[in-house]
Amino acid sequence: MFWTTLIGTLVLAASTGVALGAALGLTGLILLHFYSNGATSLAVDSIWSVFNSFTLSAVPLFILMGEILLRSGVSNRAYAAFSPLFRRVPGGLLHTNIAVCTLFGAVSGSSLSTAAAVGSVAYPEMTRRGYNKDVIVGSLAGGGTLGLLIPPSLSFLIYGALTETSIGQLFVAGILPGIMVAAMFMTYIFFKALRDPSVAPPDPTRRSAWQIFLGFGQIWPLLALIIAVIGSIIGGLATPTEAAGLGVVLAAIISFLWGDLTLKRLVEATFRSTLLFASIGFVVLGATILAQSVSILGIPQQILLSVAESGLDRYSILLVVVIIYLILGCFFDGLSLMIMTLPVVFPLLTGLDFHPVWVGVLITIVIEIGQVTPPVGLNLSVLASLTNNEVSLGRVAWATVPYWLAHLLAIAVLTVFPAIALFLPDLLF
Amino acid sequence: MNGAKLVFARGLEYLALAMAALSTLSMAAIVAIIVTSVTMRRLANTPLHLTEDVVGLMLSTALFLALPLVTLRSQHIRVTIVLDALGPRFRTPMRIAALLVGLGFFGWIVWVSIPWFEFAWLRNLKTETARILLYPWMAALPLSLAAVWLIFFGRLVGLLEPEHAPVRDDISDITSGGER
Repeated sequence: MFWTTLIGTLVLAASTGVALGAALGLTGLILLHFYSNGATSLAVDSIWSVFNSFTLSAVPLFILMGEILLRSGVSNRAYAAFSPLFRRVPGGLLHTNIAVCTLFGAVSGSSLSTAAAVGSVAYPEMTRRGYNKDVIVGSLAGGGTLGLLIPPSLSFLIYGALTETSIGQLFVAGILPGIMVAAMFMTYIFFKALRDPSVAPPDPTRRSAWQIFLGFGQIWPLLALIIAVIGSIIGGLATPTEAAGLGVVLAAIISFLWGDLTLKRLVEATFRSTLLFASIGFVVLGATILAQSVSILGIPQQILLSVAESGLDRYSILLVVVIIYLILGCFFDGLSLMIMTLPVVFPLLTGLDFHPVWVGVLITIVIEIGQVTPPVGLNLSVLASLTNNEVSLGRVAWATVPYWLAHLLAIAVLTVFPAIALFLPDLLF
Repeated sequence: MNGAKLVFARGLEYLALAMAALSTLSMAAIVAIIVTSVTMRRLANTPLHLTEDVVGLMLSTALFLALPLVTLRSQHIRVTIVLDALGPRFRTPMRIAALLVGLGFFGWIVWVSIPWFEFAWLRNLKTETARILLYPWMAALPLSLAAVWLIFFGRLVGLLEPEHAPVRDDISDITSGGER
């Protein structure tokens, strides 16, 4: 009866197209009312204790940092610096897309912003040079997902705040898997271009190593910002929230001096970041009520008990969890999916002796796949709209399949070698 | 009737904008406080003891105060897969159903937040470290959610224009290079 109420109410409410946070919250309130002796007042307490939080304030600050950089034309410069580097490699500028997405992921916490920022520069340039449009958008949608894995990451921040896992450790844990996934993407592009050179026309222009090096001189402020933000967390000089606050100020200074930021754009960036944070925060709000209603009834413990009695080994359970995420990822936005499922999945997986930091990395990779799987793959929608629907949503989705297969491969590799994620946190913390 | 409709619509719009402006100020204040705190701790060795309390309060204020404008501009994250699949014939009943779900949720949460707010108000509850009075900050929750409820109500009874298709402001903004 409980599960029928939970799933029935949530599905019915969410399918009306109402704000997802309201659907989640209403489901939570109904569960609290009917299954917890009318303890709906707990909902407000839990909302307040989640949002009255110093740690969680890093989320809007990292959104703001990314917004400031977006509005200052930084992606143009990063793209110009990286493009000569891969001219001679089969795949050419497609590698540049992945490299710039990796770099941009290190200043933006969101997969969507990364795909949009790099895509808006790369797509017109590459179509002009005769690259295959489907392959371009595939690389951009795939590359954009790196924004969530490479720190600072909104996914790690919310995961850390909700599960009380060290955000510093999560950030550091995302570095090697992020680089590994980027390398997998580039390997795929390399072989794809070798097999079918028409997807990436060769560039006859020659540039000396010195010219390429000088080109990189243009992006030193961005590298300095990345080092300052991530370095201050790793070095123990600042908490992730403090690093985010300092990152905002540094990003604004850099963008004023080096980019095209004006005071008007700064105010706009702050205003829009606030609204974007509120739209994400409202999902957290609804999911918090649902999580409260589920946890007060001891549901995670019951699930854990049932799983323990099922006789399945921990890896089979992990596989089931990943498959459920992949299916749900087709219908839910990545962060919303994570927030909704954490109250059950986190105790389940950590109860099976998976490391909390490793679980955070795994969940982030799985929700990244959700960003590029139709019908609700936000990266796909952004790129389809970036091309003015020259490349339809379906074609973008199809072109992105190799990239989410690479993500699945990354999950398998991380399961066999968890040290890829845990090595740096163990070393540095 | 049209005059009352206009007053209601304009009033809510200005209220939502004013709340969002306050929310944006909160965001800017969070940055200022954090940077001041880190600077004081690192350079003057005198950390601000109220940083964590104030930042936490401002974060919740920023979130709640921005919600009315996010609702008015249809910028919420939502699942539209069923809606898209059903086609235009079901659009009106689904819109009404969505408004009723919204009214139900926001009405219920405002209702339970009143005694919660009253409890803090009557007892002058304060934060643990900096001893900041809580109820002025806590008031943002019932007030903002009541404003959101009014927006849903206005849309249901026709005092406000029906909700348009969701606007991904952030996306359109980025793809147009930040210029609007």
